[in-house]
Amino acid sequence: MESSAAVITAKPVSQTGSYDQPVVHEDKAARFWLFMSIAFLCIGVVLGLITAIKFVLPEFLGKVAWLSLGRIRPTHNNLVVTGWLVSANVAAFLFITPRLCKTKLYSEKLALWAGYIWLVANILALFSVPLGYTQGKEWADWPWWVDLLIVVSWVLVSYVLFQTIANRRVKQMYTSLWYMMGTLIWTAAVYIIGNWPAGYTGVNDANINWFYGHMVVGLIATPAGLALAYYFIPKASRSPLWSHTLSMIGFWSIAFIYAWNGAHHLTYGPIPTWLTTVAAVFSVLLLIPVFTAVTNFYLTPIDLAKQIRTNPIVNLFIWGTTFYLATCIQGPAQALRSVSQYVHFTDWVVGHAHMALFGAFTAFAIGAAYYMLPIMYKRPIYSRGLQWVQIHLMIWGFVIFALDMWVGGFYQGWLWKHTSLSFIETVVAMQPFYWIRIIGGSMMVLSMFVFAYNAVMTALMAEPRKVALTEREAEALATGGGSVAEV
Amino acid sequence: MAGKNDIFHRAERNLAWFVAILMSFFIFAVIATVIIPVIATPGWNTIPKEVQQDPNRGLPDWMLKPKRELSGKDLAMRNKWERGRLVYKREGCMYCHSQQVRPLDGDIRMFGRGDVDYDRKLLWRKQKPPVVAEAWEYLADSPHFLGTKRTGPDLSRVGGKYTDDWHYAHFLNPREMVPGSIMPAYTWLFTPTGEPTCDARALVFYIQTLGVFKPWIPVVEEAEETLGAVPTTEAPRPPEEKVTYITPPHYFDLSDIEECGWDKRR
Repeated sequence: MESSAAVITAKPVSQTGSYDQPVVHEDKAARFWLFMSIAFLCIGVVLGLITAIKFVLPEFLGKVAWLSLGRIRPTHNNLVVTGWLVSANVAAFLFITPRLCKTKLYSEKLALWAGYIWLVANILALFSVPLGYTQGKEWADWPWWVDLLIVVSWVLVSYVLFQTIANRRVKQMYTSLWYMMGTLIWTAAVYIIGNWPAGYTGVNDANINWFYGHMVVGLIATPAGLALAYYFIPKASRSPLWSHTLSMIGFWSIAFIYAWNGAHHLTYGPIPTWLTTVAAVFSVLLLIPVFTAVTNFYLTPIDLAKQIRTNPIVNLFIWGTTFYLATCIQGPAQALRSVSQYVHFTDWVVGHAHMALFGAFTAFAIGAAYYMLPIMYKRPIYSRGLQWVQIHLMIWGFVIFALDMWVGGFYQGWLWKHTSLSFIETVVAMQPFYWIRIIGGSMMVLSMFVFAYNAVMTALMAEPRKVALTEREAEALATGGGSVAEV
Repeated sequence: MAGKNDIFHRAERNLAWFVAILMSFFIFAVIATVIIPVIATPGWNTIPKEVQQDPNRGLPDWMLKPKRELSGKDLAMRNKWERGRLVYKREGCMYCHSQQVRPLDGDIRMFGRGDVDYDRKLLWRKQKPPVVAEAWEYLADSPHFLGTKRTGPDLSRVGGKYTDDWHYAHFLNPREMVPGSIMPAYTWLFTPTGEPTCDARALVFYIQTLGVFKPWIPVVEEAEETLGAVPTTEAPRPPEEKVTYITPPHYFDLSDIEECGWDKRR
């Protein structure tokens, strides 16, 4: 709490040397990664909507092998993670690291090449699963040749970012950098463990698969999302971070706790009971990092009530924080046997997974994009009105989706447990919920297209200014601080 | 703040410290939750002793042995089974169908067979009935198909429940066989005239092997049933005396061995 915001305030506080002239950031690689992620986002959400429609109209789009439910669903799953969320987070990493280190990015060129490899990998991946080339494990569906490209690209981008940090002109590393470095290391380790083509068998394979499957959210999406939130919330709300100590407790507790959780996906399954018990205990412990992070995010923006109404970026991040809190209260609860026996295998889990990856971390990534775009292109965002349209479509579409999936999922679990209906009767009973999901889902998809349109127009069409803005002026524009003249 | 010198404060100024603490936490967790279970759990990577000694339980050799040691009919079974698993994986069946019966009332009611009430009574007495999934049953599976969501029913006990022809008709038009089903029609597994291709045959072969390697269907003998029919007592019947478990009736169809060349090395 004390001098916590030292690193992030506008004043250069350097312990190692003088801060002679402002660094000019090129952001070439960050722009590439951002627009690549937006392209995959548009494809990924459409695949999701197709999946949802096939739950009520099984013959939708005809009887075509590569468009069948069993092939489109895993493609949607994996593409929104590797194609959209991770790419968007890397774009933000490439943006925030040089700024937090007060130095240039180590190599724009190398980061761009990593981006090209990532692009090729994801395009190959997009076709591999629908054409039948799959590893057949949830979250690890991409075949090994895609995994190889992904790992090469990840090592390249990690190298660039770590070199940038090694060259930093500020001794103390800010919270976002810890989370980012955590993401870089954990992603490499977890991805390789989860996709290793060693042919593990049976229950062992399931345990490793769910170690990986849970870490996709826990050690890839979560630290990346929190890295963004710890940077962009103070920046966008022009407020110092509320507590440095809390951020430290949060980070190291995530580092210690998260990797123990995978086995709760196999609660009541054919694995030893102690393993699911350990996973349940550590799942409950996760409330510590969650509450520290959430407290920090809620209390950082000065005059929060006003900022939520006037500043779309703060609004998105606060919504994201709220969904993060909600998903992380659900998570530990679901790990308990008493809850798991109602919700496991039901549509509840679909709602839960979307709340983490869509409600929280996609909101963070889009908020970050809204902040970065004006600064990267030195011009105001194309349409502020569309930003609000996008936010409301996203939030309320998702609220419909999530409530529907929870009520529906719990109802499904209750039918299984407490009635004498046959299985097919419970499938029929879920149909109304699947219809409502399509309504919410369509709003979510539409919202993503509004975002994509706004981003592309900002980059391409916004009127170029005769005099380019400075970084601080662009920052003021991004955070909704009024006109340039005020700066 | 900068003056504090505990390891976590040092880690935020020093990259090497940071990476060291991070990795040690991570490796600790991997050892505890991924590596130790393999070492410490009997039956995790091998068939447990009591199953090996039981003639009615256990996976057949053609599933477990390395392929180079197999020949003839065994090799054909293995090839057809592997092809079936590949089709199952390719079509993403595991995203809608789990393959694990949990020790829960609902699971036993929906996916068990025979005298289901008996299995449930065992459960109330904290004994796992044989219909519940055991680790050794999955030893030959790579990748695992334990599943994560039940859009469709669990399949781990479906072997022998329906005939091959039922499955072909169901794959061709699920809603004709099960009204209300939302399963896709897998027309590309059939010739234009509706004949199953080798892929469809292999898939059905695989499905017919699910759950047939141990007796798990409880059968209560007729005489015992009338005895136990006194409606006033809720007391569970003692298991050893009155109930026998049977393996579902099953067969492995290799009639297409010539047509699809299952016995060839591949």
